[in-house]
Amino acid sequence: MIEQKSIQIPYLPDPARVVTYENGFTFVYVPKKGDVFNVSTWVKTGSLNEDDQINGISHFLEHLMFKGTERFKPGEFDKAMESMGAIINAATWKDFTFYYITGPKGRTDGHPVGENFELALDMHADMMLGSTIPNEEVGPPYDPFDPNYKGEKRERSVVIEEISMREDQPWTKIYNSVNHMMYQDGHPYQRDVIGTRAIIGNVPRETIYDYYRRWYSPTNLTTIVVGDFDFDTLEEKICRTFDFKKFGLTENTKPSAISASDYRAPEKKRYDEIKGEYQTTFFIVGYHGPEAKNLPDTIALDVVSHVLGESRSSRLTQALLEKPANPVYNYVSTGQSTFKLGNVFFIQGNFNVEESDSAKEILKQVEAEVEKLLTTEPITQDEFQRAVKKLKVTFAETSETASGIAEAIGEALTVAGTLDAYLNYQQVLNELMLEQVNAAAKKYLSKDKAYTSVMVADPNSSKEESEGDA
Amino acid sequence: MLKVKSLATEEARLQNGTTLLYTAIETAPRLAFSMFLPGGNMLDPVPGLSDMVDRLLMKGTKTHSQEQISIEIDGLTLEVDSDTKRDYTAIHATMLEEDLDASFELISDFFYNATFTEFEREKQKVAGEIMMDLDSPKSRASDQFIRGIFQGTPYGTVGSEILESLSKMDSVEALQRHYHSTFNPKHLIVSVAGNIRPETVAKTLEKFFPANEQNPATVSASLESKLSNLTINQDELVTFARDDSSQAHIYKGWLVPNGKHEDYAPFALLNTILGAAGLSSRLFLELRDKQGLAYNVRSSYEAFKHKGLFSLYIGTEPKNKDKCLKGFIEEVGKLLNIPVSAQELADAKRNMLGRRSVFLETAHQQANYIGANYTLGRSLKEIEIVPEQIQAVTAQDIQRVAQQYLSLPSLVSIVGPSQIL
Repeated sequence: MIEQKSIQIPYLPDPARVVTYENGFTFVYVPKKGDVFNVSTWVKTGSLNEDDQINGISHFLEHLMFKGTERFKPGEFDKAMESMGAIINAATWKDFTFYYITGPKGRTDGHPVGENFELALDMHADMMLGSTIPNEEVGPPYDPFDPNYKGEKRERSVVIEEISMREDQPWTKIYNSVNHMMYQDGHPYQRDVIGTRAIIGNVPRETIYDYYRRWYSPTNLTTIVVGDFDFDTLEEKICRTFDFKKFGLTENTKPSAISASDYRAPEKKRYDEIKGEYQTTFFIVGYHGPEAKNLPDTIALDVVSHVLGESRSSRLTQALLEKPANPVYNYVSTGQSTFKLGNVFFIQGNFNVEESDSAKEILKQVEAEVEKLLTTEPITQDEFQRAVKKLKVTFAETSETASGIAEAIGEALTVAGTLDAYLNYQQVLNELMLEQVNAAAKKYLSKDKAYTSVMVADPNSSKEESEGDA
Repeated sequence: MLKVKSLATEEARLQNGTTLLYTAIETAPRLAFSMFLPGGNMLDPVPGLSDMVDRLLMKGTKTHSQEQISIEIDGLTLEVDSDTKRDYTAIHATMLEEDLDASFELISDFFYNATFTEFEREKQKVAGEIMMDLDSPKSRASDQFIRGIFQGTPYGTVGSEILESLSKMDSVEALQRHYHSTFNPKHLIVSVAGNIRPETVAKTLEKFFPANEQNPATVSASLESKLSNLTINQDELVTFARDDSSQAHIYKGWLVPNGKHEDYAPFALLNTILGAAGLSSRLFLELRDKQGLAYNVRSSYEAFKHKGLFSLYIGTEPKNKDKCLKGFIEEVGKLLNIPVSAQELADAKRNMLGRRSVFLETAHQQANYIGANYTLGRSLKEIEIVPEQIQAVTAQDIQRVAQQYLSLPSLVSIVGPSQIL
């Protein structure tokens, strides 16, 4: 190891350790009393590092990482972990891919770190560094649009079913629509993380394997362990299991050179309507926010979100749902997603459209509330204090579970690029002034910066075509 | 033998009749309360009336408007929500100890003094929310599945049924009557977990939940026995066409033992083995990993007070509908015909018991688990011995319950493009 730091994790009594090794690999240990452990590895890749030819490969790879190593056959990891009562899974998003195991530590006689955890760490590290991605598990390439294809269907088909599943989720569908509009062509965030049927059906196994070996390099990996362990024993085990040299993973990939300033927000199109066989109308309004590492602005927008639409007393909730004599809106909320190349602030909702009015007319109620907040009725001191209090509680909640702590750390390191995004959250929140919050609202949420997608209720519409399906 | 840490919960009866279940967790930053009123949809004079009552609790009291209540809640560290299920209405509340009294002052206010003045508006909102939910093909498939399998009984109170019965909820008085007959501390079960002394909790609850001389409504014995004896007489299929759907959403289910039945433990293990263990269950391995038919495939076993529901779900390419239904039959058939192996059984036991510690990590999870189980009729002792009952299950037990319940008629619900229905 070249560096070891001791850090104080909010709400936990004992300090955590951050270890950086010569090869660039980072390990974080968070001591937390109790039977439950969480081990996770965050990889600094996701659709961020994809292009039009390999869109969806990060997520497809995530599926295939569960398909065995030199030491363990496909399915052996799942079986071993689940038969100890552990929860295993993984997730892929724009800036990251991560893999986790949460489970009971197991008996400690003869096993200083617990019998279950010992096995979990061994298999997890082996999977992270030594997945073999067997051809027969990927399955032969096939044309997903050929209704007569009778050949073998393996993991390609599972992911294609996941694409179909997501198309049947109204919120996913409307999210994809607004997300597409918000970025210029070629921007890595513009594509849907899961990819397209055509790519998943055909991408060669070798392309996936090469991508894996390229991006899962030491500097791109952070492993986080939360639980009740002796640090020295644990650290020694991390060194032994995360043996990058043994797997030939010594060369570090250059981090992606893309920066937020490479792309300007597209101006040409700010409103989109798609139709579906729905009874109600779904919409999302998106705004570009600060980069995730800009903690003051990010937290300021968290406060704005609480005041505008995230709490019971919030303005949109009161004005659109609770106060009208005949509410047209069925649901409305706001939030902020953090991204390396710029967060997204969004307002989402659902309403009923009668034949006499149009979706655009109804949406004016949302626009009017945002406009008021920016001009005549800025956030008040009372609203500000309530929001700050709720954010503190939400933050405290994170510390209640091993997985909550691990995810906060993993995301801070991977998306914001610094652990400070987590460690300094409370301090920045405490120092935040109302003026900064109102200034952030004005800076990011002005009307000319909004992108709006509406999925219009149209019971007569037929199945629409997406992503060029034939 | 696997050691399972028991939950050290204490039970007390308070002066107002409330049952207090207390679990000390010294490390928990927040206090978690789960408060249960037994009955739930089983007490509905009109389907969904209990849901409507619980929605309106925080929408106005004798002294506070909806907006004032919202502002007060948002000004505290309190997080509170209410929810009606088949056998109970629950109020869940978490807070920091500094806000204990202020929180219970609010909760007490809506527990006794809700006015239901926002009723007409709330009816419209409920209708809109249900329609929004049913716009998802999977939700639609689940809705008609549960409604169909519970055949007009209160256990089948789902969105589409509430939508139809909204017109029958015509007076604020009916809501108030229902509210006053059910919101009574005499039947209240409060499960609390956190770093607080039990005396403090007892004092708080007695202060804020004064005794009510009236006796609360109880579920009629005839309705209980109707649910206990409910069966599916012949195989049934319910469908709904969504031509814009990319997948066929398929549910298949049986009526099975309730949570207190001696067959609960073997059935819970059967469920784990067939489709609830995660990535290593039989349905997952066969229909997803080997055949690539789905991303999402699973089984679930929900044990309610008087009946259990066992269901299989798969979301698949519409043209694979029959292949999936055949796969369901084959996998269930294996459970009927071949005893599970000793290894598979041992793995399933460890899976179920190990998961308990993961799912009971927070104060809120523990309070809710203990309170809900108690409300469904299990004593603390019975809750504690569930792990032992699971340990004692044999492969023969699993085969027997499979034969006994899964060879009976079932109900299939499908939502997908019309050409496959």
